[in-house]
Amino acid sequence: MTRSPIAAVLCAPGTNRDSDVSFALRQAGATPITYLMSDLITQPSCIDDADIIVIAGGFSYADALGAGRLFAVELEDSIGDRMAAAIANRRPVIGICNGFQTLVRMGILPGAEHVVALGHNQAGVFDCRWVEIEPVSQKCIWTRNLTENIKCPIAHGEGRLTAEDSTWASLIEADQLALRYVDGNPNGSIGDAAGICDASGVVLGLMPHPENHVVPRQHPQFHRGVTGNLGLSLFREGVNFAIN
Amino acid sequence: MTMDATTGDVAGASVQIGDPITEKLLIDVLGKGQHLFRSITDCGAGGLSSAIGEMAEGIGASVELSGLPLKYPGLSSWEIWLSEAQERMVVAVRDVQPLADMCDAYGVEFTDIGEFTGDGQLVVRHHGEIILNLDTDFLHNGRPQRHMKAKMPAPVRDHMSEEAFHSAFGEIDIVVALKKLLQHPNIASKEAVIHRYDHEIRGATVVRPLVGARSDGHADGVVVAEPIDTHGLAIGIGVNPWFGEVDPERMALAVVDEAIRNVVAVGADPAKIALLDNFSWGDPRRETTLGHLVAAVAGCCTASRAFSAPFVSGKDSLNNEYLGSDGERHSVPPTLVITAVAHVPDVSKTVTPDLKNENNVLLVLGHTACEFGASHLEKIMELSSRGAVPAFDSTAPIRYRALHEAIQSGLIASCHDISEGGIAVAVAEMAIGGCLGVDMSACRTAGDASWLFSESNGRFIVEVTPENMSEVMSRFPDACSQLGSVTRRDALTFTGNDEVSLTELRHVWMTQ
Repeated sequence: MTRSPIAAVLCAPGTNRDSDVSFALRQAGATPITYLMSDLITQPSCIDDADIIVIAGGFSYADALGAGRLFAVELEDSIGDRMAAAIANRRPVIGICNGFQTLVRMGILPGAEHVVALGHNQAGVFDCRWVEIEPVSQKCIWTRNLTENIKCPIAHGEGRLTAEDSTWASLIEADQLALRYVDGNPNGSIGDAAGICDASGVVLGLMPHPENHVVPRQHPQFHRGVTGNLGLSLFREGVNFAIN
Repeated sequence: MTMDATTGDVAGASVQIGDPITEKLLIDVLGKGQHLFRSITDCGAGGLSSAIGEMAEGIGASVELSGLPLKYPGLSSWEIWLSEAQERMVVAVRDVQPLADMCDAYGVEFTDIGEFTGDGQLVVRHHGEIILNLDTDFLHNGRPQRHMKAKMPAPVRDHMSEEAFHSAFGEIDIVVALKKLLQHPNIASKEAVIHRYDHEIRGATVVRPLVGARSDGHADGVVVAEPIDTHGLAIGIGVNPWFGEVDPERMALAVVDEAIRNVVAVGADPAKIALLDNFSWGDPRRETTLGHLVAAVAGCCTASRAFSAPFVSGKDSLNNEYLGSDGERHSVPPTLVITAVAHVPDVSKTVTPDLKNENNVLLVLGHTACEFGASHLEKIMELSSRGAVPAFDSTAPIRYRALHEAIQSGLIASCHDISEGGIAVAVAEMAIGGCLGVDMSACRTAGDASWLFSESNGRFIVEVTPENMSEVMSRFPDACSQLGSVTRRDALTFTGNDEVSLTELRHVWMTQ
């Protein structure tokens, strides 16, 4: 029997998609365990048992001082070294929406010397709508074996990925563009980027919510007989990588 | 307090200011820690005084206020006891420590303020000094009944004849009227607003607020269900303050009916509906304002009994008045929002209003009468109210049961309730959502403005396959008529071949 990898789902006050991503991880074969920021502060070693590290979406600390900023400071302070070790040991890490913002603030994404930012959507307002994203990176362990596009919702106000042109060219060159919006760019991100990975390919950050499309009836055209393009496949990739 | 343009500046500190993150953490703790408390009351109006006053009825409690965290320094004892600061709950706990520990982990403030005593006395202390000592029986039953005077409204209830309709409204160009209705802010697309709110959270939304071929049609109600659950909950609302200004009792009947239609339309069981009322009203010391309130409550009561749907909670906000530039005090219109929350036995059988397939047949369920009091047709023609607000249809509950059974049997391809703007607007919305046309040229009445735009209660449009048509019609004896058929053409075609393109209707609906 295949082992069910442990997925640590990290939550700060205001995180709201922890149960969503836990459901997706369970459907993909993992065993999710939720850790509050207070758990990580009092017992940072709890993260050492995790085969997968997940930073869930939401509005950590009410997005005070900028989306993901305080969550990033708290994580860095409590388990920064342990996360770095996990990444060095090629344990898969994913940050979704606020989790992506947090990984960027921590400097884990895109990593190395590169600097990117997630700014306010081009339209200037919070936006919740379904998008289609295409897997691009052959380096990213979360996307490289995906065979079809994913349809899932976005729900964010600060999802516009920005970078210096030269930085962006380097990231493309390094195969760190993990996922790209097709059929419309909802927030004005550079290169239609929906998600990027780190230089090692084990850390993925993305704005859309594949965890909200893991069963067919979640498709917005389900009542018109349309299903498919599940986000579940992305989590299966992470789980498979953790097992092997 | 009477509000005017300066209220925000002079009284900002006295109005409760919500804090979503604090509320979220409170919800997290109360959800995860359900087994750790035995009773719970939220701190609403009256703050601790009403929460503890209610919980301690007949039991008694001893409370010490000094440990409570305060938002502002210098509050006196009575202010702490009455403060309506938000995001607070009072819970009765047998063993304090486990809940205290969980609150600590989640970063939720928790204060042990006393105990329930069993002696029937409510005793409140501040730094040990008794500031209140009352028998809870006196508190709940001892006060004298307040008497207020109400002047009851006497709305027009006369039936409007076809002749009276024509003399009031004149000649109506159906296409022009439909386009104006679709542009009206009450009817036009709400898509831009809907996208500004997260309606995907928990992955539990089965019927979304936005539905249809391009995900821009509007659902009647929404259905939520945990991703692996078969059953779920439908939520729908009804509101119509324009009816309220003319006939508050019929308004209440109409909006309860609309809220229930909205959940039944998506697949909820009409036998398992709970209602909530939300009254926004003027100053009830004005006799006419109180009369409107009495009439609306009577309407709620009648509707609740007719549908066997209990009111389980609600909210009222009175004294919503402002001082106008004319120097007079003005009340908001009598506004009643009814929310229906209903059980959906099988979310895989839920239905949306967007048209599904070419050649399917459209049926109108319910009775259409010449009812235009406070209607949207009046609004777009800028007429003051003509005639009676639509009457309650006492045959509706039986029809909703039959519709639910038809939905459960898989006979209904799409379903939309008929409300603002009547049949014409409802069929246009279904067509826009499904990106499919409708041919109504064979329908005898689909050229009569009084039939197309009436806002009679208790009606739906349903889409069925040609094979299922007679089966469905037989389930609605005397209350079902054929409207037309679904086409691939970019058009709505009315009796007499009056026609308008769907592209044009979609355009006016989306750009008010």
